[in-house]
Amino acid sequence: MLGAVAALAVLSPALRGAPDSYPLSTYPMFSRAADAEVDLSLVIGRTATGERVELSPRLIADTPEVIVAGGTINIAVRRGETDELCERVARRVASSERDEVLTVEVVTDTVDSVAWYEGDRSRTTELLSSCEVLR
Amino acid sequence: MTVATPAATTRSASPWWFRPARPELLAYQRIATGLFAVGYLAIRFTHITGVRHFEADRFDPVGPVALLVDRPVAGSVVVGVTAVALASAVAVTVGWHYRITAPVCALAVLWSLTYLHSWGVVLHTDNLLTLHLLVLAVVPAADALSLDERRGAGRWTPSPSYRWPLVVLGAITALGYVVAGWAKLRNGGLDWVDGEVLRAHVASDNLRKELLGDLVSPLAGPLVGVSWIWGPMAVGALVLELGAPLAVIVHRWARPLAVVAWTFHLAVLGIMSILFPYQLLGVALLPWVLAAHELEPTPDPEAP
Repeated sequence: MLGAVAALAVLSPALRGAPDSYPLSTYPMFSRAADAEVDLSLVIGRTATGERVELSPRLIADTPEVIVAGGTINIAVRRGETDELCERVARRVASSERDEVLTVEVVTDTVDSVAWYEGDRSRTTELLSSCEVLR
Repeated sequence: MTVATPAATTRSASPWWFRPARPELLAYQRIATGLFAVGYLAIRFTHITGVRHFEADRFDPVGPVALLVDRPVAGSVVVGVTAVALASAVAVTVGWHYRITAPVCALAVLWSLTYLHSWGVVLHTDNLLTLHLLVLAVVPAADALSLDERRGAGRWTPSPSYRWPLVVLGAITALGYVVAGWAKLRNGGLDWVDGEVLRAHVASDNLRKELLGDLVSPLAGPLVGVSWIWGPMAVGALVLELGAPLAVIVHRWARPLAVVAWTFHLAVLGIMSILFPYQLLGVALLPWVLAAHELEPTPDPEAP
């Protein structure tokens, strides 16, 4: 009985076509048809010279986990809340030691990921939101 | 407490899933899962409880958390439940008041980890830990090698009650692989099999990590450039995932498939920098091996 219940429970998300959840998952990671060209939404910093610099997950989403930071950005983009995210990150940057960062931007980079690892490091960048770091 | 049946030392006509096993076999799994839970919760305690500082608008509840709350709970609840999960995991490991501490541990871990995954990102690296704890909570896994046993609960003889829970745990592990394999065929179709989808996923996943400042596999770059290896790797992954139930159907395949699955997770770590600790430490695969253990008939010393 327990075995049947457990087996049905584990299989049920796949049988029902349910959205991913926890602890019963559809395990959708890496399953979808994928193109080498990917859109990656990021939060970056700009210095006084306009140079692009990376921001840590701690600054982006108050977490050490990169994947959580990435998820936070994706949710903001999906909900159209990139301005709010941008200002939140700018406040964290302002109280950090990243004095060289004057502006925070939420962007979407379009990159050919296979070509990237074959040496072609070109990308196109779409600006979604920009905000000043007020100190 | 489940009442054990007398020992059976000869081959039975029943399916091997229900043949008697020593209580120690199930206890080994309890100790392994419990030890893992203790280490996992202790190491990730700050991370798990750190979600209490997240902005409320990031809350996106899933699973049982979505059934119970629609807004974040107080930070003290997050810390409290995670602390209970950790403390009860210690009790589970040593088998102390198991009938109480095991369900408490399973429910506390279920809540804590589901709450952790309720902030926009559902990870898949600790599902099996939670599911295994839920099953272990309702089976007699502390009849041996436990403080409860020392308290005089009595000596237990071999029983099917110590084997079939291992089969259930193994089936949960195996069916998780099946669901993952099915998702690849359903979402990616046969394109997934030629390897280009896998290659693109590996490249884009590593690129995402690189651009977000995360650890990137040193193997990813060189391997993405080698197009012919991705087809065999994709087929191999699918065969393992869809064939995993054989580990709990054909007992002689349990050990070889456990080795193959472990190697698969090692490859995932090496190529994608994705760590499945419960699998890589062997705890998720241990039920396959334990369930299939000691199935051969014991020789009768008085036989001619």
